Amino acid sequence: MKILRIRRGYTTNSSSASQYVPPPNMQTPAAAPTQPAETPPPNPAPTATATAPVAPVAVTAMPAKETQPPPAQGLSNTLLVGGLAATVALAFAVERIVRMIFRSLRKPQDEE
Amino acid sequence: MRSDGGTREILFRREGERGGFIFHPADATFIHLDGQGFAAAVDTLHLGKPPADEASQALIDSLRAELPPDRGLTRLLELAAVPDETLSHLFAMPTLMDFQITERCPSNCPQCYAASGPAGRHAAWDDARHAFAAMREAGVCQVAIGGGEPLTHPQFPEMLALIRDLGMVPNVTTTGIGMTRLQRTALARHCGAVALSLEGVGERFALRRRQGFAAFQETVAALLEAGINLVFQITLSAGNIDDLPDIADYLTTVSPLYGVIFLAHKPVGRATGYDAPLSTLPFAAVYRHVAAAMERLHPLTRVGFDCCLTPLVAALEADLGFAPDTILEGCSGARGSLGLTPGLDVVPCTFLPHESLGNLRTHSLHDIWHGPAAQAFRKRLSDRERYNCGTDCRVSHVCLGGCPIWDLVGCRWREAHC
Repeated sequence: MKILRIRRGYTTNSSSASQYVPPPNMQTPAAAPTQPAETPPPNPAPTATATAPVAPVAVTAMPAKETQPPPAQGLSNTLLVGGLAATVALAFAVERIVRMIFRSLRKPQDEE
Repeated sequence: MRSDGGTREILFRREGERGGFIFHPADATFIHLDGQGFAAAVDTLHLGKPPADEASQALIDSLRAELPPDRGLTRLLELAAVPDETLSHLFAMPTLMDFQITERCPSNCPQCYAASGPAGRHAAWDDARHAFAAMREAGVCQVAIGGGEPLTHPQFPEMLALIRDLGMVPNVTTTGIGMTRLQRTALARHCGAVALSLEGVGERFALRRRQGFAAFQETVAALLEAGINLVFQITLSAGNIDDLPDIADYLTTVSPLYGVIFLAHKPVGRATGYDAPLSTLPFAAVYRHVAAAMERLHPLTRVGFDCCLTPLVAALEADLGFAPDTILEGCSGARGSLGLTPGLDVVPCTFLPHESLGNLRTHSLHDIWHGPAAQAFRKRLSDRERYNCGTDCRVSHVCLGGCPIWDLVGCRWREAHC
């Protein structure tokens, strides 16, 4: 038992019937309950041959065909790649420092 | 229909238990409810029963908070399963009709999609009355009046009053040319909103619209002075997309502004050959302009989109952070709305005047809505989504891949995959 969606706005043209984006201060909280938590109605994917009855409110229960990785996952990937790059760069830097130390140690011996 | 303590509520019963929606003319408020919620709303708001339990009480409280205190014009419309349909979003009957009440217009603009002119025919007054009654009976909530120039119709003010008397909301698209004081009063008294079309500013406006930009601005001032909810309809094409920043600049100077609607240029009427659809440009070039305009206008007013632009709106939705499925819906033609010609041919939308689904003089709106021609058009919509959209596109089930007739705008998914 829930409100699925609230839309406000006069429509002046039939082809613009579907989308109407209110400014942020006019957004209603209706979007929140659009993902029913329990027993969603049957929701067949649109096909040319489907004959099953179709619920107009099925939009609210349409499962995403593909789930996007959550933002946190994207962030951790970025950190991982950055960490690896930093480690490699550090290894190169350490190698150069070690080489410089060896060279400076070798020079006095050569002079002798 | 019943009267109860000054409250008039109208119920449209439909077969099936698929929920429904509540419509109130104030700001054209649609509240969609699931099956249980709709049943509770009917019991309490229509039948006057007390809420059955706490959940029902909470729902009714929420509904009352969303609806205006004056519930006299509230309508409850039940949605039903429609057999043999192929699409997921379908009203049992249309909720919006776009009625082209005339093909007459004094302007003869070079890009008019309706190919209107001074010799165009009017809808007969008897036909119009019959059509409005049929709409009301079917459950139509809003009537978008267009033309031609609707102001040229001799019964224009009477039409607006009749639509209101029937419990529907009239909205009008006009140029404002020749608007009389009586007509302006009728617009202010009866209309939800009035739309003016704008495809450029200054001299760029005058290239496409014969009345010139100065006269256009006078119309804007006159409508605002009358307290009318003003909407601008911006038809976007390959030829004017670069003008969009200037158009957005102008729109920020208009106040109060009820809304802005972006529409896709369609190759129909005199628009064929005059300009080219957005699909002839790279998607990124179009998207850059529209996203920039959206960011400027969205904080100021409502921004709407022609349902032909859904592939573009899908990208906006992802980038600008709108909640999925809250704004995006594919073509509404024969799914939630219909067009009507002056001769009462019912069409999927008024951009398709030759795609008749039936005629209101000989058939009921119910029969036309459920008839073979409407079913065939819906199958084209379904096929468009089925064959043109990728299985990995997350929004194709609501976007439907854009207009089923023409390629009007590019698509980020297609550009990346095709």
